[in-house]
Amino acid sequence: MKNLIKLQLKKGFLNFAVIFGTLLASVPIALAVKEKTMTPREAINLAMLYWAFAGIPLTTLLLSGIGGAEAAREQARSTEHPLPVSQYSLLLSSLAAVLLEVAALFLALCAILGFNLPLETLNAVQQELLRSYIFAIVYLSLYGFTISYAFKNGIAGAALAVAAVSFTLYPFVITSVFQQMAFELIPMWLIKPAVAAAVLAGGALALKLLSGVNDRKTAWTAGRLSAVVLLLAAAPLTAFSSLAWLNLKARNVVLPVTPMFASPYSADKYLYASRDVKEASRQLLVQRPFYGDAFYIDKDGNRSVIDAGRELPRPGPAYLFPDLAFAQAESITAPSGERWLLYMPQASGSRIVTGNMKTGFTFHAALKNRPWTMDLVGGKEPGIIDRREDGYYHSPLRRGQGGLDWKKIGSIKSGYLSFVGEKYRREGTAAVFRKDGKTLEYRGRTWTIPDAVGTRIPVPGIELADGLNFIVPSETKDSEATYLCRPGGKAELIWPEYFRLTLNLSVTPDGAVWGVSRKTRQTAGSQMVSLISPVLYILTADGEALPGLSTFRVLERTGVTNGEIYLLKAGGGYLWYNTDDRYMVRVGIKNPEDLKIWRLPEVPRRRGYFARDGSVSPSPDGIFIAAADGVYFMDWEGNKKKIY
Amino acid sequence: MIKIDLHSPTPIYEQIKTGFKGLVRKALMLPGDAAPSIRTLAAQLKLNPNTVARAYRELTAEGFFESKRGEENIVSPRAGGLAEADTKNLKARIAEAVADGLKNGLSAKDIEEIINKVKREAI
Amino acid sequence: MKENHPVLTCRGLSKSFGSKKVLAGLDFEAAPGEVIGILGRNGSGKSTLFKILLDLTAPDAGSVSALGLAPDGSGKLRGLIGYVPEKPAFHGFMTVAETLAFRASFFGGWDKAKAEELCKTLELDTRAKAADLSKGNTAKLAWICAAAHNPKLLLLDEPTSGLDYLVRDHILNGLVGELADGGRTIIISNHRMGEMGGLLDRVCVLKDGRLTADYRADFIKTETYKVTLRGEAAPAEEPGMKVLSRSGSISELAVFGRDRMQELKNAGKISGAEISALDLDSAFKALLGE
Repeated sequence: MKNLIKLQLKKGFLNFAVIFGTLLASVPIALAVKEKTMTPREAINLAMLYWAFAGIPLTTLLLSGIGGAEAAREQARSTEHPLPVSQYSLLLSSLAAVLLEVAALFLALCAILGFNLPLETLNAVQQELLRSYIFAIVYLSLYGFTISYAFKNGIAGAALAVAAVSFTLYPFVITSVFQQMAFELIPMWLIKPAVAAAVLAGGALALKLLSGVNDRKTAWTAGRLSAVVLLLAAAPLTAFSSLAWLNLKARNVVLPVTPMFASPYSADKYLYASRDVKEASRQLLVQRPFYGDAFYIDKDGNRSVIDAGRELPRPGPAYLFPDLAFAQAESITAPSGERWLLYMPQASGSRIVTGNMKTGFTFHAALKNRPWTMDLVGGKEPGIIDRREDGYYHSPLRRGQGGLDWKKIGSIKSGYLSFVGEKYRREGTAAVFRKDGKTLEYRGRTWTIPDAVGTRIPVPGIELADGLNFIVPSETKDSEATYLCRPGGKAELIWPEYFRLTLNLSVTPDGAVWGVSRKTRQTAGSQMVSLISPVLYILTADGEALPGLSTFRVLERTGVTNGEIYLLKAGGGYLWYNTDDRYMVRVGIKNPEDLKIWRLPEVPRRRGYFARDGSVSPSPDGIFIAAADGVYFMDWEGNKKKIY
Repeated sequence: MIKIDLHSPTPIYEQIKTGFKGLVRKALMLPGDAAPSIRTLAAQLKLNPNTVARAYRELTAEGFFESKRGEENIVSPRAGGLAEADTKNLKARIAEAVADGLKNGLSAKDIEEIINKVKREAI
Repeated sequence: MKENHPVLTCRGLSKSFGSKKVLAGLDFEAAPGEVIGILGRNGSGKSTLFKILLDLTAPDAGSVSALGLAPDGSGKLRGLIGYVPEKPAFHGFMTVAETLAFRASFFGGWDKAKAEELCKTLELDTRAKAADLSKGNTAKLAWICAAAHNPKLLLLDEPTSGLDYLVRDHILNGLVGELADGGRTIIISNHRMGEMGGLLDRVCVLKDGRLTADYRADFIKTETYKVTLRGEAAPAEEPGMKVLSRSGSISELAVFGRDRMQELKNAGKISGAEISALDLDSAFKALLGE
């Protein structure tokens, strides 16, 4: 075979030399014709970009088209058929020569760029195309050659090869880009190799069958013809089918509707903790991005529609690129039980909606500008705060009073925390520091916290079993601590790190307060550890402050290495965790060996800059799971059922 | 040196044998001379070597050729005599044919014509 | 010396191109050492038969066994056969020496010394480029390529057509040489068998997709007769007998086989006819038309 390939290379040498020479010549030409503002490097990069996206593919078509058509001609046959090698291997040697020539061109191109491909200058689609580049070139060569051979015509071969490759690559690229931007729904790790295998095997086998007819004069039968067509069509059909599959799966995806900049460690909404979070968490706001609708669902599957969604997208364009509409929302529940929802969909206008599941939701006010600068604020009277260019504004949210009544509450520099703090103080849910900065005072009771990080802003409290408690951080030159000020007692040092309710603590529906030790919290890639396992500090709703808990065991047992662990519930001597949205784990507080693990249904993994989704949401009776195929509810014993 | 007529009804190997006998009679080949190798003669006459081999075998069997000092197909001393005998045979056959012809109605002139015709064609 | 197994066996070979049936159940056998001529008109299927034997074309039906191998598409069979195609073609940019070296790498048993010897004997300039070779020199090169690996079976498709006397001489010498080495079986397809007469053991006629005649060469030379007689007296055609020509009052017939001849004489069908030997070319012509 080596000798045959050498022969084929010698035969085609002149053509190849001309093309290679053109590639090399494009460097001085690029330098000669470049604009004055471009550096030589940029000029060469541009020339090579043209070669990469246009020159080399065209060359591939040219060489493979000529190669295939030549191989079918009588001339090639009569000189080479007498050799004691199979006629098929003669074809393969021609094909191999084409591939080697194209590879040489590609390597030369890389060499000209100093093997340093300027990938940053490409957009997402171009990047995806580049990833498939080598595959596409091999595909073009194989199909260009085979089809040219079949039709004894290089142009027909080239045209059909381009069609086949486009047909395959387009859905491929779209699917990959979609999955990168939205979520992984279909196993590209399986489909890509399958398509690659279909291309290689389909092309090679079709070539073999064609050789049987062309060279060995076996008769064309209906079976043979359909086999060749199917073999060649296999790859494009598979790629297109994967797009169909993607479409189907995209329809079923249910996502939770979360605020845009949510983070489990963020604050304000949870200030009116126990009641707001507990009641609010009984219903989950979900959306179906494919249909653009959103609704509340409770654990029994009852639904209340917030947004009816848009018209079903037109099949054609929607098929080619499933167009998803994502919505964000923030909600707060008033003491009266009313829910206020700041709803920001993609497909229609942002608005404030109010109501509850029983009676339904009604429109309250439209939000025209930049709703993502707005935040809801809780307390006795719910309100909304907007950060505008010229300062912070606030409007109360009152039922029956349509529209919003904006009042400026502070400049940009001063922020809104003092306003909110004052609000809570007036509502009787916040304590104040005395002028000495160390004594906290609430309704006549005082606590002294050594080295407290005192602020002028009132400190909001947290409702535990024994009443309103206050969490206060303290700091010295070399150490930090967090104190808990109980209603009936003194300030207790509970944790050896800096924690503050409005900064880095979260609240579970059952009223437990928890935070992640900053020292042990690592982001993936910051350090080379095989398993990130943060230490958690938990204050149960009963008021028990647990010391730092290692999460290593739990994470190791569930095979989670990225440190994604969230507290769901703390009570009855147990802790329930969510690890990486994949498992729910129940651990005994006193006896960590008492471990129970339940696997959660698959949730769509969102990519991009979105932080953790909240696909797994705790509620008092269990957890909601917004999975890739619907919504599930699992109770604290691990029994799950599909509610949508 | 030997002429082969592909179109003649006489088998080729016979013609080869006759050819050699003729050469000996005309003293173009003498006892002790080596006949050309099978390969050479076959190449010259564009014949299947097997055919030549057969002729040589038969000539050797008849005693026309002999093996001497490790070499094959040497004209033997008896070759002359055999050629003669052959000639005698031939002559007798011709005489018989002529007699036959005369008996059956051919004239002496016809026979002369035949002889002339054959002579012309043979040369 | 001779083995009993045939070197080549074909049974029921059939091949059609579209609606045209080129081979229709052809049977053929060649014993080791035989020189066989296949006679057939243009387009009668000779080349197709050769291509099937060489594993270049797949038959529609039938089996082939050559040198113990069956054609299976791998091309292995071609490594054992010396093939001279009707129109030999070589890569124009290669010299004779390069062509031979190239071929050498594919054929096991390639005898480099023999190839060189043949080049000298045939007066072929090894430095000449294949594109510059005349038709005669191309034929020589084709012959060397076929013979240099000492194959047991040689297939030659019209090896001497269009060549001048000298080249033809060389080719025939080459054939004789191969035969002299022993153990070679040669199958030649030719339009005109006349000049091969001395080499052939057997002559087959390929007609209507089958071998319609298979005679020993001796038979053709020694047992075919030309019968000339007056037109009215001419009998109708029968097997073993063919009308060669009828012009005016004279008819010429070809009769195949001494026995046949005797039968006809006894039956009195050809009394008064002039009987002479039938020359090879006329015999072959008659066979083709039969």
